[in-house]
Amino acid sequence: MNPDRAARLWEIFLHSLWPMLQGTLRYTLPLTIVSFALALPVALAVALAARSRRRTLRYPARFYVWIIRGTPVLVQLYLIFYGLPNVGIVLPAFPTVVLAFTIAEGAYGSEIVRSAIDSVPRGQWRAGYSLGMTGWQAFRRIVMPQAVRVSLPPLGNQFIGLLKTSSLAALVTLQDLFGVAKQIAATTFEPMLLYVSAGLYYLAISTVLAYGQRVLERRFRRYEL
Amino acid sequence: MLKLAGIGKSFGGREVLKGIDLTIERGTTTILIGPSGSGKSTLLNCMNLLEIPSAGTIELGERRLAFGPATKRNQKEWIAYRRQTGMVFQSHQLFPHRTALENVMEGLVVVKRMPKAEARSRAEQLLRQVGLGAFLDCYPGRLSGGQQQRVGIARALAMDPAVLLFDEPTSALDPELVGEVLQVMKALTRQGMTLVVATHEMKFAREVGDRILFLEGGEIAEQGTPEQMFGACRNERVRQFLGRFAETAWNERALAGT
Repeated sequence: MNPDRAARLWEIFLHSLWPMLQGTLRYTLPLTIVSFALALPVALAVALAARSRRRTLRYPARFYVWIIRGTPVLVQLYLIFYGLPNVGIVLPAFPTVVLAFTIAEGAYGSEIVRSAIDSVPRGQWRAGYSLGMTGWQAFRRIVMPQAVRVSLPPLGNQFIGLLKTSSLAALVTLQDLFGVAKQIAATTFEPMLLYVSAGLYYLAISTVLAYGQRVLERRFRRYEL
Repeated sequence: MLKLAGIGKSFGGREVLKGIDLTIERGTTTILIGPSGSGKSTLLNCMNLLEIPSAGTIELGERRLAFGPATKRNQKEWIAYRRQTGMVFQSHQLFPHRTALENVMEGLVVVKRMPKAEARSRAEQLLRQVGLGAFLDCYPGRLSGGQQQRVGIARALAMDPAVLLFDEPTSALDPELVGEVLQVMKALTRQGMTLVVATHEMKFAREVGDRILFLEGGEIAEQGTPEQMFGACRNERVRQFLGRFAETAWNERALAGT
């Protein structure tokens, strides 16, 4: 590689760092965090509905998971952003992405939460009941703390997955980390450089998240030997 | 005090309990013996409604609950009833995310809405009573099987139940740990607690039982005082059953070389 080209690449790299960081802080991280935070209560509610004795709760929950898990997030995203305007519903890009991700993560998360609840032995519920607890008390005090512990690794996985999925936001016009990289790549004709940089950004963030997950898991493991 | 009449329980067409009639007087110890699958556990579970009987009635003090095919789920009544009974499980079922002390406090704080400080001192006192004063802040995973079971007893006692039910409390324990649990239970009988115990510890049954019930095929096949049951029982099935125990005990001793 001649020195001129190397210098040009270096310059583009340096100049792209700040805009990509802006994209990360303005869109990538907020989208990921807000969607996930909203998805958790959805996941819990859907998991409880799916385990319910009542069919009127169980069937809709299963239906929701079936639809959402069976279709690509990208299709869901396009449906909301490009499809809904056809029926008169126009949402701005940011809420669109949050909505699509919340719905999708809620479905995947509900399966994690459901299996975590199921992993707590039936005897633990019974022990709660034998003390005279109501179903909710037994869930809240006995089963949920143990289920949280079990669900942390897969939920951490989902969170990191969502961070990367958030790059789809670029396809509905948001200038997130990937969107910025895409744009600079298009104007400089250096896609290799820009997409490697973007990849490194994602890698760095998910490494931090994975570390956070380990800390959290350790905190919840204290009661085991 | 506790009166069962015609209690039946079926699981998907299989009849596990067939019309059990049983009255338990205050301050007595009732022992359930019988081969595995005879319905001992199911009977205990029906006595605190962890299983809902398919038929019959249960009376405890003023409360009377009836069960049948038309019985609707009546959570409120059932929970109120459960608060008057305590249960000690074969596999202790302590809450692994709570210390010994917190395990005993849990019911007091959540169910009885007792202030924390008061619950703590009551729980401490109970754990000392079962000989675990030095283990208050241990998580169950750090305790031996016998210690775990004694925490389980303290946890059930904390709720001040009218009757305390034991579902084979020593069956999952190493032999050398059985004694410490039985000792705690013996102490309870001396304090006038009402106990119902499913067990295979025949020596214990003989020593502390006021009445022995022999269950087989979901029915009370025979009952009597320890003398009647362990002496020359008229019922051949009882003699056979107890005979097998004498045999195992003898075999174990032979194997141990004594």
